[in-house]
Amino acid sequence: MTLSPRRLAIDYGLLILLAGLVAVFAVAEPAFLRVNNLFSILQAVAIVALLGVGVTVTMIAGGFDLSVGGLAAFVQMAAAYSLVVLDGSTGSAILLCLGLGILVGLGNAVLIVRLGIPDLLATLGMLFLLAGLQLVPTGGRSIAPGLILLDGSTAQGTFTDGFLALGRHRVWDILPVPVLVLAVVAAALWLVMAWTRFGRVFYAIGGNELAARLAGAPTRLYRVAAYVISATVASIGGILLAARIGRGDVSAGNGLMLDAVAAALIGHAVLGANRPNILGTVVGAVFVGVLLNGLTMLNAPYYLQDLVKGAVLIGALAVTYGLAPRRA
Amino acid sequence: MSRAQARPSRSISAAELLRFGLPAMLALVLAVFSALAPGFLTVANVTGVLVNSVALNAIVALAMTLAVASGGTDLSVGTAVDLGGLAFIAAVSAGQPVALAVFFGLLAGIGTGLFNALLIARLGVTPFLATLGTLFIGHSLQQLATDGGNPVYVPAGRITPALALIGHGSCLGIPLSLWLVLLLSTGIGLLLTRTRFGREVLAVGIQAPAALYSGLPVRRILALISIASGTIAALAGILLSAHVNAYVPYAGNAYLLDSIGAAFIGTALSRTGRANVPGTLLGVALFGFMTNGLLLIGWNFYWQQVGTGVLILLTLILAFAGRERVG
Repeated sequence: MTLSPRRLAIDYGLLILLAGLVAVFAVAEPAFLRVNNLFSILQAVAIVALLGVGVTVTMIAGGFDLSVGGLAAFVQMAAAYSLVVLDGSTGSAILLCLGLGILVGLGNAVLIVRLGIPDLLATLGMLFLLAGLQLVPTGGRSIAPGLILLDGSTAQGTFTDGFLALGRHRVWDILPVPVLVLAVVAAALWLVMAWTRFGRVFYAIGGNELAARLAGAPTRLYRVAAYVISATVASIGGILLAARIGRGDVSAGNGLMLDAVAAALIGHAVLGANRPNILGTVVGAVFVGVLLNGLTMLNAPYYLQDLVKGAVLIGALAVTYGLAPRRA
Repeated sequence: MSRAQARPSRSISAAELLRFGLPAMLALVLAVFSALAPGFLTVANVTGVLVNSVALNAIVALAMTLAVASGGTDLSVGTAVDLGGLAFIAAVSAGQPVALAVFFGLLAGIGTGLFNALLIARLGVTPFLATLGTLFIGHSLQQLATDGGNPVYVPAGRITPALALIGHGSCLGIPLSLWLVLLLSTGIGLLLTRTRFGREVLAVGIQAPAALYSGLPVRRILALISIASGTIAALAGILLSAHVNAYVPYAGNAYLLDSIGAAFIGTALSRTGRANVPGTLLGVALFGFMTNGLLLIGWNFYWQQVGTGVLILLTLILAFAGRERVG
């Protein structure tokens, strides 16, 4: 295919824009390009990017998971409860969180795949459920060491150093653990989705489930897998969130869902994929992170942040929908 | 219409379940709470639920119903509620006549809808994504307009009888907001079921490409629906802010998930599987009475949230377990 300017804009528009932004910010504020700052940006977007990657897997299989943000917040509270109230170890907290994530993923899968409830509705119901459940054990209060429990006693546990390190430690003093986790998870899922026959089947189901089934693919199994993967990745995000803030915060999940969905949608526009893809989602999240970090360095007011996110989302959509050839 | 009759007899129960699922669920909720909470089925309480919770939720959910009928989801209804309330309160606070303030409030809703229409009809962006962008931008606009999210209170001297009338007025003993619900649901219900335009909207919602090839002006229809949805949601924002004599930033977002829930439950539980006004209203009422009932029997707000989640899922399971046997 010849490389027309139009094709160039579709395929590389977002990446060129990202490079341009980095250049502008680097010139305006030299500190922007410091390695430390770049990793701070990645650390800031790691959790949203993880959730976005999870949503992307369900989108690839033709579904949608609205519950990832609620699940991450729920898991974050569960981790804090396990550590502070139950005085559990790092390992038990992590196992509990992953177990809860898989359970929620299976729950979503039963509702959507087994009972045939539309994905948006089923995961919306799950979102409500999780948002309420996370408040139940503590009566709606955030969890920090020394919390007074509902029966009047004081919680004995505390966040272990090992657990906190998951959110705060920097490998070789430079690479934050959440970024490492994101890199591993995203790379693994990207390899599977883009390069293996399993990935092909996920995309085939997203394209036309009936056709995929008639071609012999166990489509229900794959769709179940998609929701379980999405929920597991979201619960990893929740663990990192708890480790990062060092408490169980009832409002920590606010906005996570929309940010993650936005990242996944911006990702459609990366490399002209015009469909959900793992790499694109990560680039989408990083793009928003770079923009917000740069604007903050240039002293833009914080309340421009959502305006920027909205503008980027719409810009990406305009590129994907406006320039790409119409598919009726 | 004859779909139910054409099916073999063993599936009638499933078809009946779909037709009566929502009213039956509402009746069940009402029955259970009347038994558990003595104060539940009293005129005062029922009126309170209808006025304080159902009315505004219903208006926003009706806006959502239009969007769902045309095959989309309007994530910016809460934004339109907020921007409508902001424009209204700003105009009232600046000493403008209330009628003009209402006009400004509606204009904000129309603006929100127009922006969506531009993205959806002009650029061809999927409604879900386009309105997500609008949601973000609306959030920032409110922060910009209020120095980062401070409420705007109407100065005491500007609280005129006209403002009080919009916020607290009633006619024949029925509050203004409920009249508006009645008016809007009749209007939208007739529009969707009895007019040519309504049929065109539903046709676009079911199969947009087919509608396009049949010669329907799909883009114009989607644009009109976006604008209508924004305007109706802004009405709720005007009523809300007139009721409390203030504009509270992002208050409208509380309506988003409830309105999606109500409109989609109404759609899922209708026999035709299409968005419809009675279904949406029943969905809103179900949520409203459920929350109120749980409150009366002494459950905390977070248990109410759990209850709402369980209720949504139970209703859906009931509906789709029945549907699967039919299909």
